[in-house]
Amino acid sequence: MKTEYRKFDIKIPTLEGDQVAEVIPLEVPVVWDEEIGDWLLTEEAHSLIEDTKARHMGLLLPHQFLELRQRHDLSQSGIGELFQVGAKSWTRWETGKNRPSRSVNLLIKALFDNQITIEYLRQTTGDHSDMNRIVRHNFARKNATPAPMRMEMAVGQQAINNSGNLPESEPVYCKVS
Amino acid sequence: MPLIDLPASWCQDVVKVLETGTTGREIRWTFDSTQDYESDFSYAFPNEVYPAIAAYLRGHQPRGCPKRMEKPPGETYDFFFTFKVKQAYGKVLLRPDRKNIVVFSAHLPRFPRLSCE
Repeated sequence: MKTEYRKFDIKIPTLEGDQVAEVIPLEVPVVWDEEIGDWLLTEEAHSLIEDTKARHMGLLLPHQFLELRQRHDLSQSGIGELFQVGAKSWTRWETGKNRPSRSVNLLIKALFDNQITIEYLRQTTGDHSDMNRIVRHNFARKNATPAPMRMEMAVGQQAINNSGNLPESEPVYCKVS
Repeated sequence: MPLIDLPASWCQDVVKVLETGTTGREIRWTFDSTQDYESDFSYAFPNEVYPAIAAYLRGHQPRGCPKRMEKPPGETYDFFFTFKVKQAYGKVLLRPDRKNIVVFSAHLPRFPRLSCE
């Protein structure tokens, strides 16, 4: 199969996304597909283009998502829960099959660069795993619990509700200084 | 040739590849289509357009034009779809094995109508 390198212009958008801030020329491998009768980009070419673009846009690369998760000893579902995206999304980011939006990426990059701590993120974005455990535990004990303690649990539950049930339409922002 | 309803089997198979395939493997782009996409949607990565195309093909009565070409083998259609709140032009080949596609075009429309309109 005939392969050659061709110059590809990578356009780096402005933050608003409506203009090109910078053009990065890059040599990428392409293969001639006899059936198609055209030059096709290889998988490596796509990776080169996307990684170069991501780097210039200040976005994390797929291996950095993996590195971040391993650094904090979290499972894909654990870290997905932390960023409220689900394990599937995180897996796709780690494998490079997809990329988060720029704003989500900014938050993840802040953690990657140690500008925010995982504890801060847990508190702010609401990692409810501990709270959920308490709720489940309390639910199991509910019938056997004396009234005064039930009152305490109700207060605790209210606190959980207040901190945990953020409306879906309101994103949680994390200010990075 | 008038605008036609895109064949359901073609739509289904293309959507499946878009949802499960990998860029550069099952989902191939030509050099020119990648450069055009980069020029028109510099703020988006190639895989961001897949859900938009899939949504159009899964929607109510997706329409487009069959592209009859001497080569390559397979079925090619072009169509308009919405991407990043803009109208975009797409031209996709489903290869004969129905497990691989080639994106010939995914960019802003160069003409107000499709080739067969």
